[in-house]
Amino acid sequence: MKRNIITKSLNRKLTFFLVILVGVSGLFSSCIKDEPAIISTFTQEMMGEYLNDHKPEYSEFYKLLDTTQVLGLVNAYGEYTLFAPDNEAMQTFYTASGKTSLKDFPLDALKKIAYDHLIKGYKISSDKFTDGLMPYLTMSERYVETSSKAVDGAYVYFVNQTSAILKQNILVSNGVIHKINKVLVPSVLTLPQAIAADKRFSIFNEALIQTGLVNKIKLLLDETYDRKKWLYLDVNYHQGSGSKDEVPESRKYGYTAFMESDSTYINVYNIHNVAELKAYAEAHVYHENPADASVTDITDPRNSLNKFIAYHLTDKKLPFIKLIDMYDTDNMIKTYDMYEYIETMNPNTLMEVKKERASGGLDFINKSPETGEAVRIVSTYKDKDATNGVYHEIDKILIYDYRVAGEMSSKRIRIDAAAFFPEFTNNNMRIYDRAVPRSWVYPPGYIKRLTFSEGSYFSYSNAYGGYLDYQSDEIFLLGLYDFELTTPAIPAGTYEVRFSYQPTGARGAAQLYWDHKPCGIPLDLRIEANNPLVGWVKPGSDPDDTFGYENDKMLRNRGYMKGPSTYKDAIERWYGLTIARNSAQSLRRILGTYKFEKSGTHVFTVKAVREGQFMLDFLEFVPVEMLESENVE
Amino acid sequence: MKKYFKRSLNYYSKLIVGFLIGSFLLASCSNPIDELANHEPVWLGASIYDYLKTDGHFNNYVRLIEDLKYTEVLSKTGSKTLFVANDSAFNEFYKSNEWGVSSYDQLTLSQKKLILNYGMINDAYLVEMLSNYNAGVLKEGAGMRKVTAVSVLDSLPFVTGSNLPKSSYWDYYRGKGMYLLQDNTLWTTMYFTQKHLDQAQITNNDFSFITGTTRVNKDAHIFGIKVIKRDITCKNGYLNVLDKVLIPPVNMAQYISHNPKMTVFSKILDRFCAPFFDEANTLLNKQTNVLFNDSIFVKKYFAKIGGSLKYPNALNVNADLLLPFDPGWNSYTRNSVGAALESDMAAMFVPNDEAMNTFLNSGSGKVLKDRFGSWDDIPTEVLPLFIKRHMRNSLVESVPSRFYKMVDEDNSSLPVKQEDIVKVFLGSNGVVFETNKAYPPDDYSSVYGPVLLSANDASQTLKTKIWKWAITQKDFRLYLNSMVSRYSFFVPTDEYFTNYIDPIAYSKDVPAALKYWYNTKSASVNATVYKYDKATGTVGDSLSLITNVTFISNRLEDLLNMHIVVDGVETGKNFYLTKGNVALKVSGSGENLEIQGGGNIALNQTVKVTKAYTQSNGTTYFIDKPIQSPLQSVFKVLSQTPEFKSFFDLMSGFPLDPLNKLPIIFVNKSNYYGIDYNIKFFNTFNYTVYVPTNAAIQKAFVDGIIKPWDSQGPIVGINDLPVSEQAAEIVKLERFLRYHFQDNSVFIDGKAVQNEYQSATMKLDDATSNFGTFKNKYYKIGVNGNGTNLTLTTETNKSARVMTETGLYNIMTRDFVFNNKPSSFKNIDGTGAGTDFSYSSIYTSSTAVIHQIDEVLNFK
Repeated sequence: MKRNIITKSLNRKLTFFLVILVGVSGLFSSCIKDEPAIISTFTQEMMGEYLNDHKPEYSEFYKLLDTTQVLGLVNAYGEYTLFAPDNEAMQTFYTASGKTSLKDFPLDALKKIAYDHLIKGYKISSDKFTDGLMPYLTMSERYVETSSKAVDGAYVYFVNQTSAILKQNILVSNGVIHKINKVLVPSVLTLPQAIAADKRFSIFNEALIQTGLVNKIKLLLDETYDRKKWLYLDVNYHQGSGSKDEVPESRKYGYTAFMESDSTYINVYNIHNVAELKAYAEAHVYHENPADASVTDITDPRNSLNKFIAYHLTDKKLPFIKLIDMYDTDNMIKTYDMYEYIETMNPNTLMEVKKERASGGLDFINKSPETGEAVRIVSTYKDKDATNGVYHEIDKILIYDYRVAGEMSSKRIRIDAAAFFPEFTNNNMRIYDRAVPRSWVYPPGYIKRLTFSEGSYFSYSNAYGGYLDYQSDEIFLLGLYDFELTTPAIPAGTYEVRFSYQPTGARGAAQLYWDHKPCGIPLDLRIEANNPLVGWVKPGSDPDDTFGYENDKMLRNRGYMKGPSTYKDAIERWYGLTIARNSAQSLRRILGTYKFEKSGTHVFTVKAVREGQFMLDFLEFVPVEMLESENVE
Repeated sequence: MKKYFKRSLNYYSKLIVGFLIGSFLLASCSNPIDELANHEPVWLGASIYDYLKTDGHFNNYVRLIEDLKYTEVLSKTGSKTLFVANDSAFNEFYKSNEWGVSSYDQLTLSQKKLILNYGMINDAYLVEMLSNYNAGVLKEGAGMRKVTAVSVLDSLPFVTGSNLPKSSYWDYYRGKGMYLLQDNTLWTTMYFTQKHLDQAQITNNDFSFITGTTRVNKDAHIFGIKVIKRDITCKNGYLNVLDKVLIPPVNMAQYISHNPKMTVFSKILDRFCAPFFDEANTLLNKQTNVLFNDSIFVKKYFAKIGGSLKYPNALNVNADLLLPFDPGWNSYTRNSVGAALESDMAAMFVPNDEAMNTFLNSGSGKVLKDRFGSWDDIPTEVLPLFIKRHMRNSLVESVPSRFYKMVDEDNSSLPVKQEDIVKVFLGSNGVVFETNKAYPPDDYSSVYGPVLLSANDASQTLKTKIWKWAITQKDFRLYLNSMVSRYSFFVPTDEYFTNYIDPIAYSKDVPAALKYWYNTKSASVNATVYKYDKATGTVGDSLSLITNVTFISNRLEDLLNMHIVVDGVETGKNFYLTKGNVALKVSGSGENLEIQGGGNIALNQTVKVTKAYTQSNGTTYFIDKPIQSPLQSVFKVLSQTPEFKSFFDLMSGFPLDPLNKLPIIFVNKSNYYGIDYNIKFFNTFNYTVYVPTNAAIQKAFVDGIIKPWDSQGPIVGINDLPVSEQAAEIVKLERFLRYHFQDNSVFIDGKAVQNEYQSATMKLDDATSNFGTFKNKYYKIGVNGNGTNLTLTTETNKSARVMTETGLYNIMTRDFVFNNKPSSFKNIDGTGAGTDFSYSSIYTSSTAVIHQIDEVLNFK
């Protein structure tokens, strides 16, 4: 139950002030349980002006912003979130750092402090706080963790566990300020260093080192990426949503480790050291190629222990909220469970994360549909942040064993286009904003598993409520494009492969290839579903086919499927708040039935043959075993 | 943004002041505001005319102004931008120029007008502001062209008959000549300014390559002529001094048609132009020249933009015969989002005569030479693809620094290299690159090429008009032009396009064979319907004619799908699957290749190759009859083959599914309607069906593996079981039978095979099986063979063998899916009840190969 309190903050400079109430139930639902009351004050000043006008509280931090020339930024138009340490916090920080004042710090260090407290591009009031890392980066490119704790009988928000928010939601013209009582000092450890420093995971850490996999989670930033070189791509192209394509600021790497604690190994599995962990892996790890079982070198990717540890690692930095919850946008229909597939460092394997509506759980990893067995994140020990990654404790052993391998190969794997590319996650592009669309255009080589021709304009529009897209986002291309993407690894088997898109009159036509074989004649993306060539009939409109199942079959005979019933557009923009299945502007094209002899990646190539737009929402891989019983989801 | 306003303000403030002052000058003397006019800002200077007159270095220009009676205009009115040359530039001009004039006095009136008006823009622009234009919103730095003050009638040439293009559209005027405008749209000038070059990312090297001159940062050029003194502010506009005399360059079409090195290309280009009466300019000219009593025509190319979409006789030009743009269109404007006249020009890569002839005689154009002999004899309909490939709709996208990424309108790379360029001409509407190479379209070199080049009357045989028509109904052309794929493409030539057995008619009372033929009048394919005797396979008298395009393209699309193999068919195998999943039996190679579809086998026919073409992405085989797919379904084969009876009886004995009241295996309902019954779990794919012998089935009864439907002696049949036990036995039997259906067609085809394939029976437990199949996955079947046999291994590690000795193997079937049940249509000859037969269509199909095996397959 939220507690809304109206307060006011007088501003001596302005002629008027406004006090607003935030936290209208349903509209701004916080993700934190037992949170403090949400209190907001509003002033028309700019952020910097506000601090200047409240010198008794913020003069030191104001000085810091001024010295580092960040002040200009927070006095400019835009959207910012500032965690502003008060003067007492700054003094404490000086003392703790062995200094007496700002002057004792080098300018670079001061700038980093300023950036650690400032988020650009987003206005994050406390109703958006999550219990864990929030999905926004500070200007020093770090996540900020929020939480709430009871202090002296009242709940208080905390930032990065230790900085209490003394005054929340000071809404200024260009953003929001939260006053904090302690300077934020994010960890400077890399993921391997952070894991090594955390004695809770000493067995895992030792195995991580012995297998050599620690070397795969060390990268921080692609120093060869030079944004300036690619600014010509930013040719003022505005997406239909109105967003102007941006050239990525940088190209960061990121990783996540899901780890069992020593305590879990010892108490639940009787594993006390790496040797015993190795034995466990040898007994349980699934080898598609049985010969791998005899590989004894634990640094060899085919080795059981190596596969075991590698299955705990991914090359995406995934705070808890980005495991799946963030993709459960307003577009997603809240009665359908959600699944996210994450490629792990165990070659050719996927990990499934399930958000389950019935139980409310949003971290079921590899949950067995039959037994309910699943690995879960330990809620009290998650979102441990490092410069290039994050780690979470898991409550039981995570392993790609026979059960997981079997179940993974017998389910529909639907992968959102954005999930193909770790760069979108690691550079914080795969992010949801219901009302504010953002988009990026990519230089060649920026996305590792993607190549495209010189003439291709490859862009990504982040999750936005106006799109009729799965998870609200889409890949978008223009002109005479020609691109090739490598999919995440798909388990062996025979699959019907489908490509989901939205047909509109502005699209072109493209020749699609699966693993370099053409998928029929070119697909004309202009042809909407209600065109007689496709034959879509709105479900419910034919009294002889109330649910549209007969029409579904007819579409399949023509190589199409309706959009799924699991999402809609969330804000009225183009599609009339319509569920994809009920929209003539949502289609899936059946690319064909393919036998994948081994688990592994595949290549999807798209070449424009008629100039126009192209968009890719998701690909799905449906084992032929499911075709007779597949539902409309 | 602020910066922009500042700059704009500066610019517009000058304009406004200039305009106001200009207005005041024209206003009445008694106007009290005259006082203001007497206080001109110092920076305004003199009028354009006065400046030129006073300066003393522009006597030629001053004479032009005076002769053309522009003194008043350029003294007192207007907001103009003028590009002028001084007397020393004129002296250089008189020494050598393309007009052949050596003094001012030799300039004709028309030439004088062109010099003056072509250097004049009817608005005042600072040089760097030339790159701005307004297209609803201000486009800064995006412009490279503007309309000049030239009137279309400033130059009205009379063209003698011998100088007219050679095509028939001009024949009427050949004897008498004609007043012919090369274009009747506004003349434009073009310029290179720093802002635009920066924005368009045209490098200084690009500039040099195109203009033949060099530039340094901030230079401005009109075409290739440098502005040596810029932005001289006059009362009525801006003056800019060029280092040479600017005479209007011709447009691209004019340049090509007069270039002695481009006669071949020019001649084929001329096939796409015609004279059109220009009524407006004829009237206009008569108003100013009362003695003029003739008609004025304009030369237009048949083009999607800028040209004519119609012939002079007002009939529409077929879209395939339209050029992408009219190369003579002075006001060329790119047809693209955000494009404007100012934003770009066109470009053409024109192979010189040597390149054109080399291409035809020894290059990849040899196929053209072989078929047609010479450029003159190549049918017009074949040429647009070639010409289009050399026409580029953007100069900005066609500068040398971008050659490497140029693609044609089909997104196929245009492999122009800088060393291919012999000469560059910058015309009024675009640039012409003379090349030493031709760049043929993929259409010529792909497997589609032989179809394209044979769809005409150049030869009396081996025509491909039908196939070309079918290809163009859908995007098969682009599919077949995919250069990353490898195809074997079978082409029944027109004379052999007979006796196609229509699968829907086949299942009705009046089966029919269709003869497809190309109707020249309607430019589409028609089908004549002939009686067909199913029993004897003979074709009788004609019954009717079908012209319905939807019907014919539906059947031809189905045919196309079964005439394309995405692979080579000369790899030593005997069977290949087509794009449409139909299997082809193939033997021999090259022009000795022989092909049989399932339908051909049934008819005891062999399809023979009449000609084979090796193309860049595969082989095109001209064949002497259409490949006919099987007309027998799995149901039909099983039901009509006595050796398959026991298996068929089991398959056909199922009651309706108690849950959904649908048949379990054989189905005949909407969205499944085929010739008879379809396999319910087939799904537009290719399958194998293993049919145990009757004895093997019998043994399975005896061994208790399955139960028959009806009791057989001591063996109690399912139908005789207590009801409570029936359901489980029915499920067991269904699962048993489905284990004999396999994804992927596997033939005994001369090549060894060793693989595992999925069956159609789901594994429902975690028990260990021979192939380690996971729960909820289909059980697998191991298939091994040396090319002459096949041995199957089951999940229980038991074996079965395909019985080649009985001859019941490699039996091809096809389960069609039609849009409705065949009985809902009238017969193809119009008899019977129902909707017209032309409404019938083939939606999709699945194919299967059936083998007899000696043992049942069991997964448990």
